[in-house]
Amino acid sequence: MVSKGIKDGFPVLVGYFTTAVAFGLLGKNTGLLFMETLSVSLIVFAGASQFILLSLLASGAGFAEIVITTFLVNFRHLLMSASLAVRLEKKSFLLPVAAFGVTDETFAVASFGASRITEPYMIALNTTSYAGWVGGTAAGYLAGNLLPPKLQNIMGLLLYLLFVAILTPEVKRRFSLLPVILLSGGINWFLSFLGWMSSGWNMIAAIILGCTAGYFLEQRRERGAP
Amino acid sequence: MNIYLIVLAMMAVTYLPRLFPFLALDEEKIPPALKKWLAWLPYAALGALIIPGGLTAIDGPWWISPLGLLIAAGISWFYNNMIVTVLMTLALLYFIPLG
Repeated sequence: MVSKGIKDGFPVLVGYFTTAVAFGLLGKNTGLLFMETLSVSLIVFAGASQFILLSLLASGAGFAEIVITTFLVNFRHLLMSASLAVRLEKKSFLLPVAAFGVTDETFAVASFGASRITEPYMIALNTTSYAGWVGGTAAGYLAGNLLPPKLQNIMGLLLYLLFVAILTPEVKRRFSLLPVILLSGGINWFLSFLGWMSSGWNMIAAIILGCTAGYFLEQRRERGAP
Repeated sequence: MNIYLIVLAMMAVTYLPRLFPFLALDEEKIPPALKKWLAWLPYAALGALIIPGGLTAIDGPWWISPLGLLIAAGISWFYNNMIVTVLMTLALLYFIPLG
């Protein structure tokens, strides 16, 4: 299980490394010290909220604003952990370690890559990804400005490409997944267009509505409706 | 303002939602309906993660990020390998002038 976790984590390691290079570089440009920037990646380990932290610091936001925004942005992991928790075989004292590394990407890989989810698998997958994230942060802070600006710009798409690469084979296998994926994305888009709520709440609402739609579509299919 | 204090508080509000479901949900006691509902979560979550954030991830003409996502979908449709998909897409995008 450990070696499968490392193997499955490798694409995330590559993706995280390059994305974290951008984070490290931005941390430096925001005026943080090396250890400060690195400690964010070491301790928080949550991509989007780390970038948000930098922009909030730059705009002079206060403690409460930063912490509440982080909570809202990362609260979706509650849903992802719940989805993994119902598949997790056998809990042990390692559970708090396994839970630390639940991110969008490790969740996606574990959900689709593993037929069985165990603590050793999750810890191996998460640690591999974590190594990329922390290593990339350090490299970006120290040497990120050596990358051509155009490459830095294009790399903003990298994690989204990883998500597409995870989803496409699933959709190919089962085309009826696509409506739910697009519906959830469409709801998220519409909500962010309306701008009533923060992006964290938008995403949570979109995920909940998407799951509910999928659930009822499947109920209908099971009852033999066309 | 102490940055380390902020980081520790961010860690607390990030880690607790990650941990809580593992402690609260017992695999055998979960209602089957909830289990079925949660089975859709990976798809709904990835949909909301990609759209709309991924549509504007690159600074440049509006079509460049959607084009990148389509290229990645095309490559991984025929070749199921994450790293190859991501690297090939980035390489192709690199040669498109962004004006």
